[in-house]
Amino acid sequence: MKPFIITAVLLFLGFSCSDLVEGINEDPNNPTSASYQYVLTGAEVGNIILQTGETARKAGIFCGYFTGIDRQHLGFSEYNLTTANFDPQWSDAYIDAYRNAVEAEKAAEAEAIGPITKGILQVLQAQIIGTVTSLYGDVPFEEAAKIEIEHPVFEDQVSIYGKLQNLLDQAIVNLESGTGRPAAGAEIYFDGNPAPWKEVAYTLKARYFMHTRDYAAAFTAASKGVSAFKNSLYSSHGTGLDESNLNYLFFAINVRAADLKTSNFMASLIQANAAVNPIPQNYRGNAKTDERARYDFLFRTTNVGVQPNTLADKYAAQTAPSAMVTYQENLLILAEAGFRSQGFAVGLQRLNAFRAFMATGGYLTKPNLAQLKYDAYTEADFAPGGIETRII
Amino acid sequence: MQKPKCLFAIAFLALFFQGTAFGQRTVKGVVNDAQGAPLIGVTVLEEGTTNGTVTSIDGAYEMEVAGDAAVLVFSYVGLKTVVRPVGTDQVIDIVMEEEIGLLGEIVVTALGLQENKDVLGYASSNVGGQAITGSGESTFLGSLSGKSSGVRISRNSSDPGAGAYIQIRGLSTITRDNQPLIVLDGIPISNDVRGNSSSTGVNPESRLNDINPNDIESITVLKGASAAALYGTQALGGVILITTKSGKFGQKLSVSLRSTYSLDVINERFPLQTAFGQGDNGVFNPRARDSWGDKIANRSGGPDEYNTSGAFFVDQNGTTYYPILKKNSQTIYDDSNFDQVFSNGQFLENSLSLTGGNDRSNVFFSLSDLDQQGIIRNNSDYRRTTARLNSSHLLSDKIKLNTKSTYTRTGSNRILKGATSSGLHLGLLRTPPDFDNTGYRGSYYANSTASPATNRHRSYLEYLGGDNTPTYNNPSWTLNEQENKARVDRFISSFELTASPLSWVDLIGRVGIDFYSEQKNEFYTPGSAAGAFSIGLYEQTLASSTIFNMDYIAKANRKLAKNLNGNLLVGFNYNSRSLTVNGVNTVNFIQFADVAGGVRDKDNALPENVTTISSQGRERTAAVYSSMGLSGWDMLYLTGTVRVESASTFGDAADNTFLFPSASLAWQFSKLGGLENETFSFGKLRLSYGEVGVQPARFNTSNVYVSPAFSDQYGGNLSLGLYGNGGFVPSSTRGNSALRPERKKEFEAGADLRFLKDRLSLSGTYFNNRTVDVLLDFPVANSRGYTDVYSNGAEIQNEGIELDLGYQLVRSKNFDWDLSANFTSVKNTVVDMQGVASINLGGLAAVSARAVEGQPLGVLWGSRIQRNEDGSIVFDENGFPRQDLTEGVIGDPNPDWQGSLTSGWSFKNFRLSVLFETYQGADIYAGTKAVLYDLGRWKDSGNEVTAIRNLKDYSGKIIPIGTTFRGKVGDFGAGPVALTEVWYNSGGGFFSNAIDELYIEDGSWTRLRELTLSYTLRAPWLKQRVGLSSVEFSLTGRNLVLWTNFEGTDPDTNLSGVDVARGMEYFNNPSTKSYLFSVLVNL
Repeated sequence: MKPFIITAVLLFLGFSCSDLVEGINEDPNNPTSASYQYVLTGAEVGNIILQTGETARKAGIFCGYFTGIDRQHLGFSEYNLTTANFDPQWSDAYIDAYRNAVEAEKAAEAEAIGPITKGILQVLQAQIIGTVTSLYGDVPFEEAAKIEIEHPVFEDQVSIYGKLQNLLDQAIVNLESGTGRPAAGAEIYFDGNPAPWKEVAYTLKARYFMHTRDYAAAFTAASKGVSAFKNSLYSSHGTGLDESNLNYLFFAINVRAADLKTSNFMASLIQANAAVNPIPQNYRGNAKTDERARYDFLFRTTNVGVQPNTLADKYAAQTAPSAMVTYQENLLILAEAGFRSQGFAVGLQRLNAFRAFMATGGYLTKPNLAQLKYDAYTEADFAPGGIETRII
Repeated sequence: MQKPKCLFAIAFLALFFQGTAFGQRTVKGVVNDAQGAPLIGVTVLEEGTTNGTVTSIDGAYEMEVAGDAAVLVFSYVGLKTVVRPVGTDQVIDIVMEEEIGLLGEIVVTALGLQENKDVLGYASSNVGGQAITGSGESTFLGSLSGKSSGVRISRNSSDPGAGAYIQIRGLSTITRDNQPLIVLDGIPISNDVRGNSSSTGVNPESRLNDINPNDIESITVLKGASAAALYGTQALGGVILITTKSGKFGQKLSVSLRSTYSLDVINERFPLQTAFGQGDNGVFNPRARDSWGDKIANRSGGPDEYNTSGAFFVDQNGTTYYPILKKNSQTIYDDSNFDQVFSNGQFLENSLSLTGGNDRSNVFFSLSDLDQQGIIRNNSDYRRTTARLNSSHLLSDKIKLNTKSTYTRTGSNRILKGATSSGLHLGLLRTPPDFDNTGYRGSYYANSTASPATNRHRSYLEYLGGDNTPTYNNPSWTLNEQENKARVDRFISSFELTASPLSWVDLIGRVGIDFYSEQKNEFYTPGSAAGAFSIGLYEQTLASSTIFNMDYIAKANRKLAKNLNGNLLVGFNYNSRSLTVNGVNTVNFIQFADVAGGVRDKDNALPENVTTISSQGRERTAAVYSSMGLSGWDMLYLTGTVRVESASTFGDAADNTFLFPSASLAWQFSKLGGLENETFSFGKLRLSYGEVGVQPARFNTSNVYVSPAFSDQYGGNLSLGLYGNGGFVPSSTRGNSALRPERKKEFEAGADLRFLKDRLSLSGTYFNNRTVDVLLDFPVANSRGYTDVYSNGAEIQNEGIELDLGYQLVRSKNFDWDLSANFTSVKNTVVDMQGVASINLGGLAAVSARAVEGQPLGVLWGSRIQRNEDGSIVFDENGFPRQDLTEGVIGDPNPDWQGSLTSGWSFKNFRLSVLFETYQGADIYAGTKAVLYDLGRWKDSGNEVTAIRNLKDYSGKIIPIGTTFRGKVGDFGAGPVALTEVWYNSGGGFFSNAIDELYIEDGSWTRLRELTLSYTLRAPWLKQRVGLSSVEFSLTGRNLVLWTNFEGTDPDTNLSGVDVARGMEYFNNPSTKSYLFSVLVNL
């Protein structure tokens, strides 16, 4: 009997011990809640990682922009891949970017912030999932970022594109509502200004119509798309090490420069100097086109080979913004979709609009205008024997 | 199992070493301890009679014995019993040594109480202080190796002061600490290893090494759950109880001074080829990563040809380097490059101790200093200075006060290891044989008139320092331009008051505090290869840790009835732990600063590149416990314990009170009438069951928001705090408000047998434990928006046997021979993982340690050879294995068994002892080898063979019969193929998604762990003329001989440091063997 009595007494005393230990397991280092505005910032930073980081580099390898020459990236270039190679990118997409965009929307609704904020977050979600489905095909969407659903279903890619168009339409309505801008400083791309966001939404619509080959719809959407270079969606970077351009961090800081280089194909397109152009016949310059300034902006030759230019003011400089949804993309969608759906004349007109933009420096930072020429093409340039009829 | 069998054979043969003689007379003498101090109260018995006496205050005795044939038995608690045939001697002086053997011992049990080992119902191992100080190890943890069954001490490297990994009866948890609870004089103390990284970083110190090994009286290892159940959620990994020395009442002052010098030498070196130079495809290229270049013997010899008209580099010594136009030199730099980095290490340890006491008080006081220089030439050292005062006072006949206090200061400097481009061994071993690493820092000149680019890093991949992409560190840069210092101040104090109001009741109050602060300074001169350090980094952190512990215990012993005794103990325990870390991190220096300059200015960076570090942690546990013992007929001992515990880490939302019971039964069946005889002296069967546990990590009961830096794989990070209004996002790990402790339930059965008047002892234990509710960050599909959920659910099982043998083969007047051996085999299985495929426990990106259901914990995981259903290899069209698209289990780093064999001989004043230790059947991933093959640097990648038939290489190219080529001929099962550069640069190497399974190797080893020869000088003239009671000289060899099939380094190494992830070798810092000389002077 005795042991049981002792145990009973101990249990009684033990439960009174629990008073001694209460109230000190709340983490003093981290809060248990955060206002929508901070989650929104997190979602947008996550989106920069997804759109301009390793996902873009891997996609660049498979698209022939980059060539892996050492360590892991050499393997990727040789298609020596295991499924685990994509785990970090999946996490970039669904956790750092998409989950945060969804959580920010929930928080904004709970705090009754209003439609513009909601619209911005819808565009962001559409951009994230659009990138993911374009890369991986069937992916989780409607059931994603919901912790209560154990196995989010992979949806059909075509149906996802349909849903993204609807989401962007809703976003546009919200962005047009005129109320509910996010707090200043919360939204790091346009500081909550709905006008460029609406244009970005249209350009995204156009991009996805291009993916689904609905060129007429793409042309219509792009007509309302990003209307000026300053309305382009770019990532923002600064002088802090942990706010630097991701290509800069990869090629200049983390000394992965020896692992990856610009592909010969990519470099050959705009390398004017035939002596160093790896495939001189690929060069796209002609009497009306001088690509030297653009080459100088994008690339430089290191001892490894041709690589993104990490020097100041260049494409991959520490503080250089990275393109995500841009005016130049919109111009080129108008040109291609216009050509495919409206005919050659419209296509040419739109292409010349892009060339006119580039002729003044376009998206290049501090270009050497003497090494840059993008004169308007004429129909004759595309006729047999014209300067743009070479097949590469 | 081979070894124990042969031990039995030796044991039985040696049974017959016994002597006899006759005649009746007086014998007298003095009994001293090993330090030469007289021992009071030693029992001296004439064997086989009741004739006996005890020694007086000066250690003297005198008694009548039956004659020359008599045998005297000297016994004293805690000291080794001495059996001494009288022979014709009139005066017999005896020196009694501390108990190292395992017979009739007094051991320390949970709560620091003492108990006779013969009445325990569970296994515990005892290691005496002599065995600790005699091991030649500079840290007490290392000295436990091979001393106890069921205990595995794994090293990580021989970096000075580096921690080691302890496993008692296998691994019982996946994410929580598998390390045992360390209880020093009744007070739980910190065994932190701060700053361990699973693939890179430094080999950090363990806070266990703060203890001065010379202060240790004895160590008891509580291996099983029933032995440790009174510690509840602190004891999942077992308990190591350390008792420090104390003075004795009525003992005159004795002083000991010990000095030890150790010479440490690298014990293994990687085999490297020196036939081919830097380059690829057989062509020299001074910018190539690989050493697949030209054949060095085919070069013309003489100086290289340079282009002296353009760029050049001037190194730290003023040597100028020009671009190489033609490589002519045949000079090999492997040895000089090695010697620039490594030399012999050494340490000098001095320790002083004083003991003494009167009839009311006693004191033990010690001072020690250990000063160690590692085998790495610079910035790898360790210094430990300690002071201790233990005192005990009888305030009255019923009240006793014990206070024990120690202060430790350690300073250390550590070198980067493992998988970082800025590491030491990585840069050294990858250097081509024909590259001279001497110039590592200097100025680059684009041409003769250009202004210099100063402070450039010169490495073999950038031998002119032209554009700041060294890729891998020049090892001299690692040594001289990177610093990682730590300084620790630590106080451990305990105060214990014992009151005995009745003769059968003790009331004990015990309060202890363990406080340390650790100041760490990391500094990297700009230019290091790894991205994180390349632009300069300075980090200073200050961590302070406090453990406050109180126990209030009441215990009583009573005779309950004839043949029935009972004891009862009731106690209360309060334990609180806190850790605060503050610091500042500065990257991207504005002004150039280097290690040698000494300036550590946090303002030397833009404000956005200066971050502060601040975190605080706290947890608290309160418990009541009880132990009840019954003993009957002097042979049955039944003990039951229960601990009811509450802890803060379970949060306030759920039940936070848990109960941990145990029961054990010991039956000394040899006391049944007539069983004991000349041959069989003691037999005990024991049976026990117990439960222990571990608490969840603190602050996991709620979901929190964090402001992280998102990482871009292979690239950098973007910190939320630097954007817009700053960012907070939900942590990617979900908390859980319904956490329970992990609970280990263990059943244990065993027997302790002794034969030949206790001279031969055998002990065997079977155990089976199962940890349920194992806590995991259960991975969830990332598309749910999170990476994992912290939750109970996994289950782990360990099953094993432990055998111990001790035999006093010879006991005679001038010659003693002791032998002991132990054997342990543990089978570990992760029984249940709730459907999770695998959990990554750490390691490399390519090969990691994992928890996988149905496999032992910590299996190695990586890319595999593709196999068909029937297990046969899938080959490509050229006869090489294909790689499986998914990764999987490729090896098991847990040994099948481990064991050790110790033998000690003493002849007059000489003593010789050896300790062999073995570790069998463990896999290890030879990561360094994989890389060195990939780079064409491993020894036999420099071989040339002539094809005796047409062979295909990995690319499908045919090497015609009769052609001599660089590489090897291999056969994966589809016929001979040529293993050449193309193979090692892809599937057969390390980079480019190689097949990791190819480099899983046998990491078994056997070693001569310790070899000691000592001589004790003890003579009247010494006492009279010099005033010394004894002087002991000893020579010790530590880790002298290693038998292993593993190449390049000691397989008792671990990339991941003090971590559950084990069995990976990847450019870790090397291991050593040591030669020690020590002098002990007793006054």
